[in-house]
Amino acid sequence: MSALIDAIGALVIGGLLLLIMINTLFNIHAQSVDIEQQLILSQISENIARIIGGYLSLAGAGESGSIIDSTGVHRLRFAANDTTFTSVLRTYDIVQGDSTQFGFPLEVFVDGNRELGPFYLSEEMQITYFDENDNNIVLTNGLVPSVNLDDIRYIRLEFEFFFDAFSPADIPGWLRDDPKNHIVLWRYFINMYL
Amino acid sequence: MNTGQMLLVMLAILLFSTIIISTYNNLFTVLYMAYEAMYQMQAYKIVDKIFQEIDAMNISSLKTLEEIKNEYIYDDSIMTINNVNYVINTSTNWCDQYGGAPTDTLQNYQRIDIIVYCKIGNDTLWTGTNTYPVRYIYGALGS
Repeated sequence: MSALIDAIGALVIGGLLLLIMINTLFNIHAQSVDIEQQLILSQISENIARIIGGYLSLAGAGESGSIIDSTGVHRLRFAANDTTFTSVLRTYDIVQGDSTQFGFPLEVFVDGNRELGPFYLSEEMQITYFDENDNNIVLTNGLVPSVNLDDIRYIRLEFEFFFDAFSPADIPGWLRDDPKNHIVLWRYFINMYL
Repeated sequence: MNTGQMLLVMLAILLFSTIIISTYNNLFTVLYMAYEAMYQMQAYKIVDKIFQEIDAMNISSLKTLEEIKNEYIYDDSIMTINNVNYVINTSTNWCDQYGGAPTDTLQNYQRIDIIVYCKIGNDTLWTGTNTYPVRYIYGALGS
């Protein structure tokens, strides 16, 4: 009888230890995946920021007339020659759309055709506009007043990319939230200074 | 279960715990490296903003090189982004086309050195150092 109780006790203790080990290993795996996602997210979002910066640097290239024709806190549309400099004037449209189940889609359109995206943002993109004296251009109903469009010299672009965390929410982890990368960049429209 | 067996089980638990702790510790290190890389990339964007601004001023002749030299001197200026304080230090110097000491008095080239740092926890993340600042050389475009 004593041997049987010993065996049952050992089974219970052994089972508990196994459960603890398996649970711990799962937690480590989940955290590892989250970290890997964070690293991948950083790489991808930095690349996206670089590409968008490249589009923005085209603003006004080869165009002496009105360059920015419609713009607001979530959208920037401007004219420029295309990247091959074939003297074809194109319209570039960097747009953050309405919220979806995946987040806020960020897309780049060239002449109405989507060329980049959608990339999903965790929060709404914020574009701030400045004139050549570093004054913030005040928006009206979320748009730059048409009389101020030609005053724009540079912008501050703020967005945040994210991944859904692999770790279940109820597991205490170090990542307080989904993996995110918050980026703020500035782009001077050099062509508009010429 | 005799005492010997019990001690063996406890030893196994102890060994497993140390493996877990060291594994978590390594994961922590990687996580901090990932975050620190993001902060440094943001610091580079701040540096890029200053360079772009100087380019714009120079190309448009809104400011002369002399004005740029006197105005773009940041001394522990703080820019806060996403609740992180980035401290900016810059210096401007006349130079030759390679960034070295000028060999004439024409003042055709200017060099700006930028150092940005931020404190994250107990760490200080440097983008550029006193020895190796982030450096940009620009020249007078003529008139």
